[in-house]
Amino acid sequence: MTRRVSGFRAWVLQRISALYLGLYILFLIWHFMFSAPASFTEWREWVAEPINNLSLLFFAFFLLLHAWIGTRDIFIDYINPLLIRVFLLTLLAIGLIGSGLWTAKYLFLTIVSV
Amino acid sequence: MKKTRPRPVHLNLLQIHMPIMAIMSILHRASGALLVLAIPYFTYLLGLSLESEAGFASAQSQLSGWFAKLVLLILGWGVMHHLFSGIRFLLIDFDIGVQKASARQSAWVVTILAALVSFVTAAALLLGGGS
Repeated sequence: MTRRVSGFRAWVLQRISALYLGLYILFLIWHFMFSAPASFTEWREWVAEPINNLSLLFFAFFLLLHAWIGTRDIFIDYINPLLIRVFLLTLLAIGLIGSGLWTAKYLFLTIVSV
Repeated sequence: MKKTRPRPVHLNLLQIHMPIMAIMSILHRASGALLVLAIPYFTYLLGLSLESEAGFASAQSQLSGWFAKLVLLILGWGVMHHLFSGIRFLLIDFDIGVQKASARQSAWVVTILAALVSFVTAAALLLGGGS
């Protein structure tokens, strides 16, 4: 029962995150096509804008969540030896959490220093 | 009980006939896996580009070689295919396009559109001499 519920939750989270990621990627494509930051200063000012800073943080969070669920599904389907699966999932978690913290750090440093 | 036609006992991917829906779906997974692998590097680039003027220039130059452009093209295709087929999966979740004929049609549309958009973007960037 618990496992089925957790599978359902993953399914829902995958779709909610997909919605945010899809919409935000379309916004990013549109933004960078028509008003790409031309310099370091402009780029930092754009990232330091609170609305952009926050929505980028959300983007990173949902991206990592989406990546975790999708890759976990692939591992469950194709990696059958339990020990190897757990090892790969651990590696994935470290990589994703590390990337998330790294992104959060630079987003924070940018918003407080511009 | 009537005997069924003998089934192939192998699962040789090269001998199984896969409908376009299967190919599109496999590409959805493959592109997803590819994009996950790209996350750490692009995270690093984001930090680098925000850190300093020199870091920004370094991130820019790292993305401007021909090999980097090729990788960007493949990742760009990955985003497009994952996005389009993802929208298709979401619509099917809401019972839109579940019928076999329309599912086959939309799978073709997704696969071709993603390839086309990537190709046209690459061509436009090359011809336009864009960075």
